[in-house]
Amino acid sequence: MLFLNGKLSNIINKYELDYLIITGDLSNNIFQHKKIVEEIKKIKVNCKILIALGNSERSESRFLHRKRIDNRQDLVREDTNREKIRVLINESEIYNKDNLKILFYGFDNSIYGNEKHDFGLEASEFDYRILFAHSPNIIKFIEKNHIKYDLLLAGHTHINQINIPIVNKLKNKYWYYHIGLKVTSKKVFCISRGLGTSRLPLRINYFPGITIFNFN
Amino acid sequence: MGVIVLLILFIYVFVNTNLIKVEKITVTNNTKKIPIKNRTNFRYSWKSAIS
Repeated sequence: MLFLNGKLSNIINKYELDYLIITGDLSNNIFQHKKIVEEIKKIKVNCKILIALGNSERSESRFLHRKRIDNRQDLVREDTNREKIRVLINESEIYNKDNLKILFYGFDNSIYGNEKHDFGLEASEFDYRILFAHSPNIIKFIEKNHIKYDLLLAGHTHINQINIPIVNKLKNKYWYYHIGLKVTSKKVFCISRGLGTSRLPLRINYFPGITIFNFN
Repeated sequence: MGVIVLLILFIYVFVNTNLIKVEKITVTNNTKKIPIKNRTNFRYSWKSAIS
């Protein structure tokens, strides 16, 4: 994955990260998959790389054609199953060090309706609750079930990918979601702009981006 | 003239697609208390979110 400012792993390795969270859509098809998994393995983190499944892990896409497949999620899990890399499919990971207890929970809404929550975690005390999922639609599930969180991360929308005023709103089914952060009382909801493209291999008016959160 | 415009457009789209921007956000205890109204259906830039 080569960008104008270097390889993805080199860009990320400049920062000393504890956790890296990838909110799905690793690749559009099986041909890109191996390269991207290799790139992810080169990324250095102090703790873990956590991955949520995206709709691209359930489908094969070539240009405008998209076909549903059922085994890519297993492939992602097998290929990335390393000590420092974990795919969270409705599962949690707990960081507990230096008097800091952080909950990470990865929802699987790569197919709508697949998302489940471990409600046993609601009773536990955490300094921060970081939830993540692929599609920002997870907010409906979270609000419906009154799930506690401090930071919610999602992706999927590519921030419209092609941002042409007016056309943008007519064409995009996710136009009502915000870009970047939405801060409500005591909660932060972040929708990442993502790195890749879907169908058309181009972006207009919005750069790909990585967000680094520093918890003080 | 047309070629130059096309070339500029191509470069613009190419840079837009291939240049990664890295945003850094510091989350402190104060962040949790920022009284910003529920902003569903409202788009705003990364810069304005947290100082």
